[in-house]
Amino acid sequence: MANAADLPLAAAPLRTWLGGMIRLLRAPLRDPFAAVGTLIYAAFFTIALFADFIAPHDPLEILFRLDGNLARSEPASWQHPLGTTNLGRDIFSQLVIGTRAALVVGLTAAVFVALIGTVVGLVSGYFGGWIDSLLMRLADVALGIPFLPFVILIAGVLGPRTSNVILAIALLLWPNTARVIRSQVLTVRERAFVEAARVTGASDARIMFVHVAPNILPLSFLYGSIAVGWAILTEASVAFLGFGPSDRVSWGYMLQDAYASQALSRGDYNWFVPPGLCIVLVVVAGFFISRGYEEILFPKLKD
Amino acid sequence: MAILALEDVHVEYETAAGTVRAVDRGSFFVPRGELVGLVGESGCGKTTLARAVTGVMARNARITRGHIRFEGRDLLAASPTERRAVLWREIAFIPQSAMNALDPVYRVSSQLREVLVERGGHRTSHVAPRIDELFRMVGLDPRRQRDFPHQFSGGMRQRVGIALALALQPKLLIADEPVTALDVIVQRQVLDTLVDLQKRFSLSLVLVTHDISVVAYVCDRIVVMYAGQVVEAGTAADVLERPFHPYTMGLTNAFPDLTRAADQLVPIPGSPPDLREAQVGCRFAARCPFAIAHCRSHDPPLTAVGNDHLASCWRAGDSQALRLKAREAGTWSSSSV
Amino acid sequence: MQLILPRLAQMLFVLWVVATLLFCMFRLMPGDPTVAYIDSTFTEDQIQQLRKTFGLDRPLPEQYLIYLRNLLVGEFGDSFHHRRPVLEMLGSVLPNTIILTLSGLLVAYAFGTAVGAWLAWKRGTWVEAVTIPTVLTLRAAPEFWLGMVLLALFGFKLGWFPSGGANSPGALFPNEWSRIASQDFLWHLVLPAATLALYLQGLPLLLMRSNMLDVMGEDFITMARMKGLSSWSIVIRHGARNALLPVATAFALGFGASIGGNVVVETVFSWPGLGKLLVNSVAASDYPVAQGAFFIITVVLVSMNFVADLLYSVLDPRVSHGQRR
Repeated sequence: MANAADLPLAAAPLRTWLGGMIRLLRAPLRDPFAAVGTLIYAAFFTIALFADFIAPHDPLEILFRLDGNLARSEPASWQHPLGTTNLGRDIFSQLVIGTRAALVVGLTAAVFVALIGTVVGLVSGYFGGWIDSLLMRLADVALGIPFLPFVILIAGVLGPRTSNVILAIALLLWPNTARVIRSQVLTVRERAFVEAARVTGASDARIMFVHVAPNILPLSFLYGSIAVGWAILTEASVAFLGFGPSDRVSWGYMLQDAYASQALSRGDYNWFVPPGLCIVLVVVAGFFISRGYEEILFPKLKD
Repeated sequence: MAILALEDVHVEYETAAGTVRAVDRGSFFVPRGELVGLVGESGCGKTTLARAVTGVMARNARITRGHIRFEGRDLLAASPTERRAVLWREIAFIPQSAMNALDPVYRVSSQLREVLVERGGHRTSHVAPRIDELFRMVGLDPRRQRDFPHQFSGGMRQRVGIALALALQPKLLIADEPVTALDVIVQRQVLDTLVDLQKRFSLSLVLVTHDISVVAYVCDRIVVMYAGQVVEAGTAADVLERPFHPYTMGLTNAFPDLTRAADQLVPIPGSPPDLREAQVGCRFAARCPFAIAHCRSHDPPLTAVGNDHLASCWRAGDSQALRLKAREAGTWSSSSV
Repeated sequence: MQLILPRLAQMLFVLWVVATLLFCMFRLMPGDPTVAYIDSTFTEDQIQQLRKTFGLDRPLPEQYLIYLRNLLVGEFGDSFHHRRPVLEMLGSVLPNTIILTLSGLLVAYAFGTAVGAWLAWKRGTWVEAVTIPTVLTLRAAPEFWLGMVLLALFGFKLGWFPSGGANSPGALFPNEWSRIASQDFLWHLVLPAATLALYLQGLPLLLMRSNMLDVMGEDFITMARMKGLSSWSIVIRHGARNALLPVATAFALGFGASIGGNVVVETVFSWPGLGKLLVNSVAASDYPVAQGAFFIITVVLVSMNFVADLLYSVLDPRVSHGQRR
């Protein structure tokens, strides 16, 4: 990641949140990567929203063929666009419903990571001193804990619920965001308009959240968009390992199911390839969006 | 015969905004063994022209016209192999900031050794005495040769740059603002060392600088550039005492002459033209207090104004009178800028 | 040397915090605090032994100190399910994990660095336009899914490689060393290592490319050209050498992160390593093993972070050799 200190962001300080938001939303229009990423997200959003209508069957429903036999490992057909699992469940439906789990986990975790990281970075950078030291030590600890093993441990000990996975992700992924935000805050803190606010008697909280925060918003967004990808990958990994909720269909769940049912040796590509591809698509979209924002925030000179 | 002769060299840069002609009419020569100062303000093209001699330029730079004759051979007509053969062995370069010009992860002795072995044909085991010698030559303690570049002070780094340039005993040195980045006292010391070495080894030296006082201090010949063109060239005495081009007159005003009464320093108001746009007429006309209508529509060519003295000004004939007027501060403040 | 001490202290601090967290996590679980080390299947003798080793009848603060001391000597108790000392189990799987991680990383970094440097050379061409999205896509793929695809294709369908494990079932070796060095082991190593390499190569590739682009724009590269040095000297000796600095650091960091991240790959290929041990033990509520495995993984991660910091100080002369005027 580029050095936060050389952000060309605040030539004109963004004094209003509105200004910050507008800046944020305009970005995808200017960069082809961000545009593609946004499109992919929009597509998945729509699918997730209307999943119940798009999926032809209930994802966990065991289906039977017309002749009364189990619709076991059916190849792709009109009724089952991606075929069925070895227990007779419609793969396409699972894929569609799985969109929801992915987006919910991904976005929720990302929001938390961005939120915690931003607040910590803000407070740490603004106040400095022992608060800064304490928070940065905390960051060191969070960075020293192995990510996936921790998520596994939490899920294993506290229970295989989605909320636990999100909790674990949020607990460990905030430090990078916090550090970058903190750097930026350190620069912004010295700017004239902050001084002016202080002189007029504005409280620390006010200065932090009304004056400083809008300037670092794009950064939060950037790191948030990166976190979405990691969250989705993590959720998939955890589900694959068997630590995800067993009643909720996600792409990771599908992959775990496929693996455990020997789909690999049977060569049921229609089962285990699509969920992986979906994950790739969503995560890549996240990368593209963050790349687009990075171009805006850290424009590279094109020679 | 001059060791280096540039004839009407044109250099262009391809940018996103279009083609910029950074150098137009780059002509001057360097007599063997002399110190030629290439002087002008930032952006006038002096560095571009100087680097054109080495052939190592920015990726988007093109030499579109002209000849660069080194010892009679046109370098621009030579093959890349021939050009490379000449590099460093006969034409060496001293950069403006040796800090950035030295690889930070290798010791200074390694970098010297690299040049000596790879380009000078020396044997690795035999270079040590030469490295010691080079260090002493530039006034550095040879015991420090195993240090890394960042461990040297600014002035010492420039000396390393000089040592590197001299390593293969070249005939021609091109120094691009070699002392500009140093503080005044160190500037003088390093400059003295450089000039001393130049005389000692009878080197030909092109000294690129924006500082007229440096040029006045050490140069045998002076070449003045403005907005990508050579506007005046001649011996140092001629150019300083009898400038023909109003820009040169303005430049010489900008540094105090210790032999005369302390006049006010007179800067030239205004700024050079934007070379992204096509130029019509004399490029200095907008800032020139002596410009006439003809100047704005016709670009004066570089012509002889005396024995071994060239200048590009339509009013060269009036130069004596103009020189007197140029000394007055009032002339420059009421310019048509 | 003053660089090492604060970082070492930081490393130890983090390890201490993690150890304490683990301690709290298991002691504060509902039910008998001994549940972390003893389950109902132990014999009375074993229970007494464990009680003593971990001071489970002592007050909590004392237990904590005993716990810390035990950690330092590697005393993690006995596995509930395997009846073996946890340390011994860890020891038997550690070489598998280390070798897998190292092989995957080495291939990934060798490949990534070379291609990254090459891509920098090819800046602005169609090669770049095609390769970069491809690399990004690979980075977006779940590691385990890549493994699954590779396994399905090369393991099952084509049958070129075994479908799992580190050694063929029933294979016997006189000692650990010959087991690892055997062709059998190597044959089993290929697919999981390839999966790792495929997944990990993106980072060094993009990093090296970015660094090379930065470095090649530096003044000392221009100077190298002016000196008439050969392309090899310019690009490799000066360019790559400077660009490699951050990549070396990334390698150390990557090793630390992979040790934990390998969990999924080990599961796909049934590779008997640390990650698989952790997963199995958590699933089976075999707490001593879970604690032990987690702690060892943390130790590796934190150590490698420390090594990465150190590497940078050592490799960059601007840091290792201070200012001297």
